[in-house]
Amino acid sequence: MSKIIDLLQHRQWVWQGSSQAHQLPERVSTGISLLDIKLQGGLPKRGMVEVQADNGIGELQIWLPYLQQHQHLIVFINPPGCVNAHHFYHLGFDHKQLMFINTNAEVDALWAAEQCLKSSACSVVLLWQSALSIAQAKRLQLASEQGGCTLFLYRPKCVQQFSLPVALCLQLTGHSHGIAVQIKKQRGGWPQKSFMLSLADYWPQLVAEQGEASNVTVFPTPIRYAK
Amino acid sequence: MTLWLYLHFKHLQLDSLALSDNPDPVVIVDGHSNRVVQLCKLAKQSGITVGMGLASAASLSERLQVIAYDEQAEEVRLQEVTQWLYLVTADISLFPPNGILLKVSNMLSLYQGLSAYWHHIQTHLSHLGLDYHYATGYSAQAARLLAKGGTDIITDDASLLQSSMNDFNLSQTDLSERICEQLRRVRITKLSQLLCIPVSELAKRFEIELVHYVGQLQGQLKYPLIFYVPEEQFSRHLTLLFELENLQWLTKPITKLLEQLELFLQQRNKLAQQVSLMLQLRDAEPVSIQVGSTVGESRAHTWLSLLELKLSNMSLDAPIQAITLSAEYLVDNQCVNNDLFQIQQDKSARPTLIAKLQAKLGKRSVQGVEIDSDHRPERAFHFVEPLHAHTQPVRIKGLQRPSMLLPKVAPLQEKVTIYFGPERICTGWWDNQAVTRDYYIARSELGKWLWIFKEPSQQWFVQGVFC
Repeated sequence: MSKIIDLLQHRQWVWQGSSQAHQLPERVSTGISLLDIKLQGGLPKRGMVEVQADNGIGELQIWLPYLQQHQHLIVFINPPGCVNAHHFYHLGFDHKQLMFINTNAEVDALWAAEQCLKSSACSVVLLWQSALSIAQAKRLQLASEQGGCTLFLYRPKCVQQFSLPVALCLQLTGHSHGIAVQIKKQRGGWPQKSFMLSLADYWPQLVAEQGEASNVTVFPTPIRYAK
Repeated sequence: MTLWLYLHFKHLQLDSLALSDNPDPVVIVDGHSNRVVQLCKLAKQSGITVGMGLASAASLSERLQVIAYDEQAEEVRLQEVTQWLYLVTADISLFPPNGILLKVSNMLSLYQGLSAYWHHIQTHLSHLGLDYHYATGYSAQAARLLAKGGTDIITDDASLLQSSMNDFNLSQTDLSERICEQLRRVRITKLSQLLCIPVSELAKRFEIELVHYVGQLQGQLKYPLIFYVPEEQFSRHLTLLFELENLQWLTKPITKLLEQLELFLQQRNKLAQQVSLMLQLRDAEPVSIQVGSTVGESRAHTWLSLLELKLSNMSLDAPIQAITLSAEYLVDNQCVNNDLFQIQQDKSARPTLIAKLQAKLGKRSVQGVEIDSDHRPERAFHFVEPLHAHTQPVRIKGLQRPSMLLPKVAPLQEKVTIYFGPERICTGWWDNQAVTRDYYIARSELGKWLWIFKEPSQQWFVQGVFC
C-alpha cells in the first residue's frame, strides 16, 4: 500500500497538505489589493499561472500592474492579436523589454516558451495556447523554476479540461461589475469560490455600471456593411 | 648575414584530410601524370611509393582510396599554417604550394637563441599534426634547398650548412633541365663543384639565370620575398572525405572548423556577430546559412548549437561534398562582470536567447518594437529586430487604449453598448493617410470590451480588444 503512495508522490500525482504548508512559495504582489489578499500575497514568484478566460474581458489588463514591476524581457508568444505596444509604452513600460514571437506550429511555440523560461533573460512569458498535455505543462513548469521566470498560460474557458500541474489556476469571467475571479487551484492553498474583482479603481473605463450611468448609450441596431 | 628557416610540407593535402579514423590506405594522385604524389602510412605499408603509377598502386592494395591532387587546396592550407605560425614568429614568406620561409635572425633576441626558437616553432606546429622537413640557411634559397632535400638541420654554423649543401646533386636544385645539361657536359654534377667556381667565371660561360641562382644560394644576391600579412576575416574550407547525406553527421566537421574560429577570435580578442556556413552540394547550387548573435560570441559550442538549430529546419536536395565556414562582423571583446552566486535574470542572457530563437524560428518570427510619435494607432509603433529600439518619445498619461489591436480594422457587426468616448483622432493630413475618427470603448453582448471608431461617413469599425 505504501508503495503505491510512494509511487504517486514520486510522480507528483498527489501532494500532501502537511508537507507544503510551511514552505509557501514566494509571492509577488499583483498590484491589485483584493487579488493580493485572495492569492495569499500575490502571484507565485516563479512557476506557471494558468488563466482560463474568454478573449476581450480584460484578462491581460488586470496583470499590467504586475508586469510593470519587472525589469527583464516580457515575451508574448502567439497573442490573439497584435499587441498594442503603444499602450504599454505610455503606461510606463520600457519598450525594449517587450518581445513578440509568432510561430506557425504549436510545437514551436512551446519550444520558444521553454527557451525563454530557461534563459534567465526573461521575467514573464505569456503564452496563448489552447491544447497542452500534462507532460508539456510539467516541462514548462520546471523550465520556469529553473530560469526564475513566470509563465502565464492563456487558455479559452472550457468545461472539460484536464487540470494541469500549475502553480496557480484562475478562471476569469467577464461581468458587468468587473471580472469574476475563481481560483481553481493554487499550490499551498485551497481552491476558492468565485469573487468579484471591481476594476473601477484601476481601469475605470472598463466598468460597466458606474455611478454616472446616464451617459451610457445603447445601440439598438448596429449598422451593418457590405464587405 | 640573415639566417632563414625553411619548412617543407611533404604531403600537406593528405595531412589536411583528417584521416585519423580511416581504415583504408589513401593516396593522392596527380591528375596530369597519373602518378602518386602523396601517400599515407597504410599505403606505404602495402608497398606503394611516391612516383608510382596509379595502376600499379591500385594493384598493390584493393581497398585503396584515390584522391586527386589539388594544388589550390594545398595553398589554402598553407595559408592557414602561416596564420598559425604568425602567432610565434614575425616575418613569414610563403612558397606555394607547400613551403614556408621564416626569417630567424629577427626573432633570436626574443627567444634567446636558435634552439629555443626552434623548440617553440616545433611545439607550436605540433598542434596541426603535419609532417614536414626543415632546414636553416644563410640565404632563402639555401634553406629551401636543404629542406626540400630532407636534411632536417637546425644550426647557425655556416661551415656545417655549407658542407651539408655540398652533397646535393644539381638535379635536386631549382635549376632548369637545360642548364643542368650544360653543366653536366662540363662534368659539373654536384653542387659543391658548382660553388667552387667564382661567380664572375660562371657569368662568362653560362646564362644569367645560373648566376642569379648561385648568387642567391650563397646570399650574395637578394631573393625577392613578399612577407605575410595576417587576414582580418576568418574563412575556412573543409573538403569532406565522404559525401554526407545526413545533416546530423555534419556536427563533427563543423565543430572542427568552429574550434579554429574560436582560436582565431580568442587570439585577436574578438567576437563574431555572424557566422555563415556554406554547404557545397553535388550537382546543385551551394546552400548558405547564417546564424547571428547581436553581442558577439566566440565559443565554438554556442555557435554549434545555433547552427544545429538552423540545420534541423533544413532539408537537402543533394549530398554535401564540402563546407566553408566564415565569420563576419567581428567586434572587440568587452568583458562584463556577473554575479557569481546569484542565479538571476540578467541582461547579458538576452542576446543569446534571441540568437537561439531567431536561428530556429526565423528572424521575422521574433520581434521587438519601436514606438513612433504618431496618434494613429496603426502607426504608433512598428516591429523591429529585438534589442534594436532606440527612440524615447514622451510618454502620455491617461490614454485609453486597448492592449490588443486587430491585425486589420474590421467593420462592427454586433450589438454593443458604448461606455466611454468619444476621443477624436484627426491627423495625418500631411502624408495622404489622413484619419478622422471618433473612438469609443464599448462592450459587446458577450462581455467583450471593444475599441471602436466612427468615421465621418457614419461607418463603425472595430480596431482593438481590451484583453
